[in-house]
Amino acid sequence: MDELLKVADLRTHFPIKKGLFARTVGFVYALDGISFTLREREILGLVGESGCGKTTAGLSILNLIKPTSGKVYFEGQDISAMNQKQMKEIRRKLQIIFQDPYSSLNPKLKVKDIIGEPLVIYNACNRKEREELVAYLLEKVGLLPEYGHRYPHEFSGGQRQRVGIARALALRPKLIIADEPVSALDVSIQAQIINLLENLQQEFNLSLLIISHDLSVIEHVCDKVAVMYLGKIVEMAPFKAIFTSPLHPYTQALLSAIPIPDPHSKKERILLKGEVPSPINPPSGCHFHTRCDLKKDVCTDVCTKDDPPLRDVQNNHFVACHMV
Amino acid sequence: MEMINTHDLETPLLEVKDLKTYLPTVDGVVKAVDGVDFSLGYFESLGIAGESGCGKTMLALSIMGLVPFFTKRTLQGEVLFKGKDLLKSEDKELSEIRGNQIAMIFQEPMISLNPILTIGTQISEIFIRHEGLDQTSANRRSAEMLELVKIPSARKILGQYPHQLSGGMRQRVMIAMALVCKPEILIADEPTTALDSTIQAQILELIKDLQKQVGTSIIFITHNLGIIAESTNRVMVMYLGKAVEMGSVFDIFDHPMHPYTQALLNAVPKLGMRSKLGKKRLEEIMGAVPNPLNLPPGCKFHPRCPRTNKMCEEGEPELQRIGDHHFVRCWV
Repeated sequence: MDELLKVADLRTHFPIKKGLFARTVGFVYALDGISFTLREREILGLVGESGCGKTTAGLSILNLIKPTSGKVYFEGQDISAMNQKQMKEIRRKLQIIFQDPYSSLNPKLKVKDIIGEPLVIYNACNRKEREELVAYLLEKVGLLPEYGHRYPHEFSGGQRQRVGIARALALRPKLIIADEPVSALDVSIQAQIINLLENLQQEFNLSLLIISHDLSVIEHVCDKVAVMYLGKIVEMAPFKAIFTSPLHPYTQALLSAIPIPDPHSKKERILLKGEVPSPINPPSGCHFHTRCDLKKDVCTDVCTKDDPPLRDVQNNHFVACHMV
Repeated sequence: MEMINTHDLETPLLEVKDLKTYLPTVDGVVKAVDGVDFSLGYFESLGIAGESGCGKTMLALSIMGLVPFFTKRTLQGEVLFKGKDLLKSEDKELSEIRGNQIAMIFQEPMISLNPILTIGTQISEIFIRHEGLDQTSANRRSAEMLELVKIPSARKILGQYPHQLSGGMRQRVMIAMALVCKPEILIADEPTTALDSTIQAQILELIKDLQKQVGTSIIFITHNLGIIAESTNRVMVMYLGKAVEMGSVFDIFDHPMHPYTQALLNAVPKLGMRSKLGKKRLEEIMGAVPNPLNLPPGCKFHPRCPRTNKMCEEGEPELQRIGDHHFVRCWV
């Protein structure tokens, strides 16, 4: 089967509780209906600014946060409705790499135990096989097998991220969700980790969902890109289309905001007015209309009243905008 | 613009000569800044680039005289501000210059603002301290400053506390505070690293506008080479407390000579590259930055350098002039 992951209208709303009886006084609309599919061996990038719901998307797909509504199909099975026990079986094939390599490794465990822990939990092999596998994984992520006997604090940030990757690979998953895998790392280390992820993706036939705010990294790695704004996907297309002919005004502004390391490049910068509105009380209609320039020129009611659907405008280029 | 006439343009505004900041720690001395020379002219923007731990923040703090007390006494070299050595100045003189003529914007606006004072109190304090204004006129001027950095409803913000503002707003407040006394030098230490990219674009644009309006020289400290390329005209690349290459922004980006500079430039994916020119593998820099307590002998970069030879292990190269304003510290 070609389609590995299918997300359909996934929503996660966090209740805001107040007062003595913890009454629900409102909701944070962290994830407000996203849909996409991920094929086998495909790399999808999820980009957006902080607070747009990209991390919530990752966690909701993995069922680590119970989504409010919507469905997640993994290999055709609806995993959003599964209980813990059923999920455990699925999680073998679904792994995650976290942003912060300092807080996502247990400081009390040796690296070989951290990497071997998933194998113990799933009773995947005996002790001897486990040791061999851990040594193999360490080598795969570019660490010496002897390093297994060290503790996380003895490693640098980049090396820790390698340990996190080895742990995610231990059960031979089909899909890895990487939440900001390189943003905590220095420039020279970033390149090492990006190259490593690419090599492993090829070698282990992985599908990757990469969540990042860094558009340059996303462009370099991903086949398909989805741009998020306030809990919704505003544009989704193959990487080339997003980076050469972005259609949504938010994507255009986001791309123009990235400083390019070339002093000769003279580009027109689209400066967005103001800041991202709060997801507790998102604007009516198109969430982006408060900061959008297109709206002003055409001055229509549609943008303030109706939420634009994500529609296919040309060859898998999806945009959620009334004006395109 | 009247400033330009009152000063001799021949002497640079700021000149740093062989600055050394050594930090004594329990395990030994960390040479955070190890002999840095540079100068900053009027209306210039200098970028200081490097990875974490290369000493770029300590360099800024040393110039400002904001290093810990025990370190301060061991500072070596000269920091000449209009010919006056700041390292030898008394604390009292220094606090007249600091905030008044040299100001700094810090990376994390949440930590740098006082959480228990209102924004108004914190800005007006500077007017009262440096310009001797009374509270009412200080308040009025504070509101003007906030308008200058394009904060909407400035009057309302004056009565608010830092936690009520977003990251971008706090950074604007920091910039407003730094610009209160129209400083001649503004040191911006990773001013946008904690911010989102659209907000980062707003802040960078703001700093550029203000530079034109107020006529400040700026030192941009950042690891983001994109910001350096866009916002500065001269660049210094640092590695382990030393400048490895210095030159105009075109020298550095078009003809980088030091292997570290070259590697840094090739290690970052550039926006639009893959879509237009196809996929190119990122160049990795081998290994990691060494422990500052246990530095390699010779050239500090040689264990990670692709072009290393015997000479590199033996002696440390000097910063050599290879172009008009282009300096490189490398044997090869």
